[in-house]
Amino acid sequence: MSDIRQLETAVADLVPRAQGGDAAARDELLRRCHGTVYRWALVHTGDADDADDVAQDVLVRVHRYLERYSGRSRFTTWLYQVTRNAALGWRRRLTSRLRVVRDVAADPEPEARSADDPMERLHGSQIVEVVTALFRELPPRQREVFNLADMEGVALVEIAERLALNPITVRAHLFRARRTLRARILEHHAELVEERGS
Amino acid sequence: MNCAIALDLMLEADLSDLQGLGDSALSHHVRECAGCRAAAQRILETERALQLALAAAEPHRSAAAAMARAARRRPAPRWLRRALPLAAAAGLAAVMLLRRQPTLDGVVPRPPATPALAVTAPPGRNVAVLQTDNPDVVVYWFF
Repeated sequence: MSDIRQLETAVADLVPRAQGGDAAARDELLRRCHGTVYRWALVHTGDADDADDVAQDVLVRVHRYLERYSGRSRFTTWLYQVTRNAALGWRRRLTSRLRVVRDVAADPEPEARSADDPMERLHGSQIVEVVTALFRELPPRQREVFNLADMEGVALVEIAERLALNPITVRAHLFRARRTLRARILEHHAELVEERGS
Repeated sequence: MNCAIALDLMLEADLSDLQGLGDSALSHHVRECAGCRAAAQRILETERALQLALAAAEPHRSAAAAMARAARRRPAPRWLRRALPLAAAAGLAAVMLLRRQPTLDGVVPRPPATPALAVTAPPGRNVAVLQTDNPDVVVYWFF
């Protein structure tokens, strides 16, 4: 079962209780959501520390605005929107900070990645590292769609609904992301391609 | 279908086609061609590794710690956030009024006893209008 479906099942009875003012249910709800929200934030930001900050922001928003969840959509769909908005806000603030940094520093050094970065911890093979790095470098929309479709197994129609996009556009983003990542995978295993591609 | 076409299709194919489980031409080819099956297998293995890696990522802070941290950073109440720019605008206006008093040698300038100052802030607009007793001086404070 995918991360999203597991969460949906796990919080089904917690949401109405938390909305009804049950503090213990609310805390448990936040605890259950935290990991998934963090992983979504990680896909959006590509950085573990920033993902922590975005996830924290999302927990605060859920805590404050849970009453606004009307139950018309799945809870995870609402939660994804909250995460997405928080991540977009983070990106705007980051862009503005970078602009300031560019103004004051002639040659800004990129911030060193934390050794505790989960994306950096993914070893096993060199190609996984290459693909992980490439995944991080995909345009945000492609990364988001690829993650939802191929990593979390969400149907394209549902992704289109969540992102307020046309399903054809979602498919185009997915294909572009796949093409970029898979071309690199096959490039890394040139022996598999050389004879067959000619 | 030849292998060159199959390889190109693999770049965008659904996972079921890469696994050779579908009815598409690519699926048939993957089932029949060992070389292309190996290439498809590489793609599947690598994407699976990426999937496992993402699924294993865990936040560094617990939910409780994140909430506690957020509580420490809680912004000032809304009334205070609204009042601060107005207070700053009033302060600025007062300074401007004082600086406009003519100075005479040897005479210490004194502020007017009660500077007439009308501050209005239209609701929903990020501006305060400061009307002084001097008709030539109106301060618009955008915040």
